[in-house]
Amino acid sequence: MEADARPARPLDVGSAPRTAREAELLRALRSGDEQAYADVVARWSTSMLRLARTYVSSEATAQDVVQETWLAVLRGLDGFEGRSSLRTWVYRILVTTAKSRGVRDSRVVPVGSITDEEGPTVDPSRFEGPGPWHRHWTDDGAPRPWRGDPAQGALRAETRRLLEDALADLPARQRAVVVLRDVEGLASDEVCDLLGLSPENQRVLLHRGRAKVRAALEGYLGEDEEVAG
Amino acid sequence: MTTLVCQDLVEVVTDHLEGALPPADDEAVRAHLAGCDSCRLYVEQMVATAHALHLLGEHPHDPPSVEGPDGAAPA
Repeated sequence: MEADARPARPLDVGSAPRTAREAELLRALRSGDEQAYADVVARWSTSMLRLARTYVSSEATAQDVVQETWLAVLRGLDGFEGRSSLRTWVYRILVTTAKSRGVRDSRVVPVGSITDEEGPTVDPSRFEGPGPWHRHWTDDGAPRPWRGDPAQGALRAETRRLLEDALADLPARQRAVVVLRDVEGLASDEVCDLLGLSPENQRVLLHRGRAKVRAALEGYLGEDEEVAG
Repeated sequence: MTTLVCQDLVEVVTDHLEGALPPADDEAVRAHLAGCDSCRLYVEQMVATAHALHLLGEHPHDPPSVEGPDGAAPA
């Protein structure tokens, strides 16, 4: 009944319209506007740290990487041609910087298994065994509605912590993809380009990562308990 | 038309949301979702997860564009 004839569109959690605002920011940075620089550093550094942590072994090194990246951004601003968004360009510098630091740290993300792991993303015991309802949800295994929408309004401190922990627990590649796609809202082709992934592998990593974060939210928001008030 | 059981559906949710499934498979997903409350809830929760993750980022000028689990654009 909810079926809809419209074709599925990629879930867009919000890529920025990269037009006027970005041109203005770029102009300000190029003209040496210190306030604009301070603002953009403050706004983007948290995300950059999160991404850098995917490649290097310590928070301190990640901070170095972010700092190095900003220096490289300042040096390279005049050469930025606007073929990607400014943010994607900054992230590209970050990934390059972080990778070379990761190599020195001997903590490069392994290239062997692209998807990090195999197997189902939902516990098989939540589905029926052989019988008429084979591989359908069991009564106990079926998802329950959550107490509240985690994305409604401001993120509660507890939810924020839970999401950060769930992200930190993801294998490096899944984390990088989920951070760029969902946290940052980059488009899939930008993420493929940045991380050197095929569209298929990017989707596998996104799926596995999201499924784990969903499971973490489920543990927190889906407890079967009476909530008063 | 291909039919789909719940345990298969949960593994193609992201391909479905990304619009990456071949038309016949996507149709099978839609048909399944139309008749399965639990899977519809699962898909909604995957979407809610992505949106909650987006709130972690610093996007003061960049409100997320919210879509339903069927990938429908906001009205």
